[in-house]
Amino acid sequence: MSVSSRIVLLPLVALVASAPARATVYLSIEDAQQAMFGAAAMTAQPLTLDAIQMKAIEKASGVPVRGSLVRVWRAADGGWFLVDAVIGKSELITYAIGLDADGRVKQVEVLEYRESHGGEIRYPGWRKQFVNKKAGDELRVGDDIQGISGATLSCEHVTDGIRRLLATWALVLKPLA
Amino acid sequence: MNRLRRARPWLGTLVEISVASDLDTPRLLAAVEAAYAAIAAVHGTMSVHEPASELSRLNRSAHLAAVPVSPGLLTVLRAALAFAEDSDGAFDPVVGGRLTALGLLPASEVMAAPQATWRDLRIDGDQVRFRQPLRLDFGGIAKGYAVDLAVEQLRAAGIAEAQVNAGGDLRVFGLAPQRIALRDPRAPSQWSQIVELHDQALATSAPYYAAGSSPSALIDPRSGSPYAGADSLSAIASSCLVADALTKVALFATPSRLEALLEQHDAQLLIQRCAD
Repeated sequence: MSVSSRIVLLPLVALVASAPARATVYLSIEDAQQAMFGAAAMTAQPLTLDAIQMKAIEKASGVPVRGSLVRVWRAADGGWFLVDAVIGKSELITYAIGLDADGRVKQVEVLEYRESHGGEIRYPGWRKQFVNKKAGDELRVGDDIQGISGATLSCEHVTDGIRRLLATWALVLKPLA
Repeated sequence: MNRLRRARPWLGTLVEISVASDLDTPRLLAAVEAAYAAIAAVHGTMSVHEPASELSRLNRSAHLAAVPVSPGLLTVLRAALAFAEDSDGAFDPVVGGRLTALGLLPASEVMAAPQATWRDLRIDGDQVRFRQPLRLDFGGIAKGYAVDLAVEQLRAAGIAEAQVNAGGDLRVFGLAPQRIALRDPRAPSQWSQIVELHDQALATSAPYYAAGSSPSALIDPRSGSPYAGADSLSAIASSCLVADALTKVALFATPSRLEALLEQHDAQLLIQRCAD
């Protein structure tokens, strides 16, 4: 339905059921370690925070500490590698952060992004809704969607998570080194 | 074809880069790094949330004396001012004062006048001067610009096919069209439509994530009123900067101004209208 040649009104069909939940795996833990530390050997050093440490990290970072377990690896070059997960409005993001021996951020990589509401494609007539499709292009049900556009979703949970991990490093991991 | 997909937090959102190419993995990785470096540079220069950014420094001092700015900032500023003029202020990068007054941006040292507009700004060569204290905010345009720069890097590296998606504002290139789903404004974790893009950019503005500290607060720069509609507005254009700005223009511009801007930029607007 066109309002003009440049403005197209897209009909919103009845919301029958969920479209597919978006779940993307970007990197495995091993791949992220290699991306950040190359061939340097990585040693797992899982950390369990006590109540006092959790309080101190909360105070230093201004971010609530919800779990006591921190997934930590030490690189042979003295760097650190931490894996964490944060929950946003409707998404679960697992990410890794690499720190050099002095606690400076080398790199942040999202490992996995998952939107929670799952389900099947159940839109009646959804195949008619392709927009901006060139004549002759074939589209089949089940073809992958290659991206999603929408209002920008804030990633403040990730930036909060990074702040919490940096405080964890400064207060707990650095003194261990 | 060698494929790679990465996501990193930048510009207040997650920026995803997907590439496919015959290049070997080290060169593919180098191209993706260069693209992220371009995005990081835009974040470092144009974030209003980073007190040390060039934009924040400009906002602190340009009402006192003319300030020389970098070519990148000047490019975005000129583009933003053109959209402000052509939309009669429906889009205005000087909206920062209003956003601050409404608590949608953190307070800054300089009290920006909420009623200041793009007309209070002068550019002379690479020098920028404010006629009164004001706060530029490139929230409606910097993400698109960063996506464009990242795409340039990927193209220059010889990547055959790519998508750069900054939290919903995206651009694609390659031989084959790419299928992009639009979030359903009634249930944004689901999608409702599919758009095919071929060497194009697509950006969306919609109110469903606009609450709280979202980077996409939708405020009429002229009145300070929030966007009252429920529609989701997506723009398709040749550059992501233009697509990004047009979705903001479309929220508040008069129909004739909007039509003229779409025509001028050879762009298309897609409206997902919520009946209720």
